[in-house]
Amino acid sequence: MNKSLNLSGYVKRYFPVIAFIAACALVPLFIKKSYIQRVFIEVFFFAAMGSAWNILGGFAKQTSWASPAFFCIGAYSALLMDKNFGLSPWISIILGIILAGVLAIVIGLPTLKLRGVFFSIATISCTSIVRQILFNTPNLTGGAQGLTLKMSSGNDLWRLRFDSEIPFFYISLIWMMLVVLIAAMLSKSRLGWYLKAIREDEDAAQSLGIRTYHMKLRAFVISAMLLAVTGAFYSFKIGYIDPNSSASHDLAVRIAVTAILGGMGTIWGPVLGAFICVPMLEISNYYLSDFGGGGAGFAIYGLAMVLVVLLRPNGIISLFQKKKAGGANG
Amino acid sequence: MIEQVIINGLMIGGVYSLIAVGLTMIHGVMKIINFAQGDFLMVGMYATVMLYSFLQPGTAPYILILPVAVLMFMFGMVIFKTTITRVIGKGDSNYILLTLGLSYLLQNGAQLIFGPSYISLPVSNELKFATIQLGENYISIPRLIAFAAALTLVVIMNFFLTKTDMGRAMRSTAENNTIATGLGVNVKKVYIIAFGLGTVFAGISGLLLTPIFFIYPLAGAPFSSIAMTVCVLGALGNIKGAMVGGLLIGLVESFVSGYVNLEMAKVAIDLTLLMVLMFKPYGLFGGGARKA
Repeated sequence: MNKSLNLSGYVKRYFPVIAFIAACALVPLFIKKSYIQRVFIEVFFFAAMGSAWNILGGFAKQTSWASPAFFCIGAYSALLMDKNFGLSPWISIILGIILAGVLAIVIGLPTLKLRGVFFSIATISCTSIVRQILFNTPNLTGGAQGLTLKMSSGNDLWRLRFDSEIPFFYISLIWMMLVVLIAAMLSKSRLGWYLKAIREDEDAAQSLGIRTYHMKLRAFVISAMLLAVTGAFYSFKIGYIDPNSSASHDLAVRIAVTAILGGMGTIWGPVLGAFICVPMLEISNYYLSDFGGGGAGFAIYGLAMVLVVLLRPNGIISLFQKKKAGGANG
Repeated sequence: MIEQVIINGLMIGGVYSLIAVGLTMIHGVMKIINFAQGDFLMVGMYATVMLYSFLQPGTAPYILILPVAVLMFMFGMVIFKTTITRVIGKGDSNYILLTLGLSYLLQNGAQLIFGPSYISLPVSNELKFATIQLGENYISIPRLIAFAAALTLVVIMNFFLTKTDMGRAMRSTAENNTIATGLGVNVKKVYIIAFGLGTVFAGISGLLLTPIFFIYPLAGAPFSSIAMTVCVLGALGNIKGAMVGGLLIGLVESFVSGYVNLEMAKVAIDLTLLMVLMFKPYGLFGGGARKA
């Protein structure tokens, strides 16, 4: 009796989540256009990256712009291992995770001591240093040209090369759900509460005995590792990587805006943000690419950022949350 | 070689000082670091280009300083009234996101209007390539003018802040805006003027750089990080520190680009910033207002 009651409670509680996953999983059955499927894959990847950014950027409100550095570590290590040793990305992802963790510690140790805006400034510098390194090591990373994945026909899960979009659709969907799950577990964990305490008042948190610096560093490392995995998958999906598109300020802004627009510090905010941001950019690139001198798509990004900060500082998800709270009270 | 490198470094460093003074004024008064400062410089460049089209081709652009300053002040007021005023005192992440969004909007908005191409101001070649000889070294006249104008403005600004009532009001607001309000300072007015002046300095720097650099939507982006580096180096909120810091960063850049290469010069500036944040977070000269 008790058990079944619990079960129905769970079903009731998680019904929207299950419905959402099921709806996403059924998309390829109804939408056969590979372009639309590609947009969905991009949405899932950006939702994953937004959620990863959200762990430090949202829970603890430490605005990091170093995410492209970790994305690149994952992407480059997977592509380089594939190119030079023919190693499966499933194995080189582990290498990417380790390297991203090390890089996060290297970047985080000095920068996380800084408060607020100074941390942000420092992470911007870190991204541009990584970018210059990638540009100036043409023998290893291909310099400005970057790396291209040698494609082969046929489906090969072990080497992550597919003829259609559908396998990557499910890989990206599963990965997004995994990152969301990790973020959800984190937010309920001790570390999650520590991070939220840091968000409210870092000095107060420290005075209560929370080792704020260590906690921020832990969150930074976790977020970096998740970003690295996403980078590896993403680069295999699009088949190439170059510093201009990956180690750029643009990517840092896109990842952060995904989380900010949806709702910083919430579990589903980044997912909602990705479902808004990615199609928004695709549509504006499609319809507005010839408008004026170009750049309309990213101008809209900037405008969205400004408007969200001014009008909805808690993100678009707060629209739904308010309704829910009102319903419960009323 | 070494004298030439030093001269080049000091010349561009003067302009860095001017940009940084704008940034440090905004930070000093309203405790906001403007990530779009470099893009205000880019707006100043395009404003110069637009106003220049009314002039006879070949005239020196420096006669446009006053009109560009007025335009930039108005631009700054619009930005302040519509956006910045709502995030003052609301915590770091709000203004970081807001000003980065503005920076993104301005860059891509400029591309939307003017296109992504590199343009240069059609100034006469006599001005563009004019030099004066100093022993074995050459000083480019446009760079010398930019240096002199920038430093003059910084000195005037310092005088304004220390010797006039408005300047004193600004410094008291920077110190403690609650008490300043209590003492009858119109803090709102101080905010607007400080932000306007910050924008004007960025715009004038843009104007001074038009005969030297190409003009394109991302032209201002490197200056944002340079300006932040200079400000942190010279202790935030400190005008004299910003001046010395600007010259120092100019020297760092010109030494690395002279002896290593141009790409490494950018890395050197980023590294300098990280080093200063790590080891000298209160600036090289101490003092200054900063919480960290």
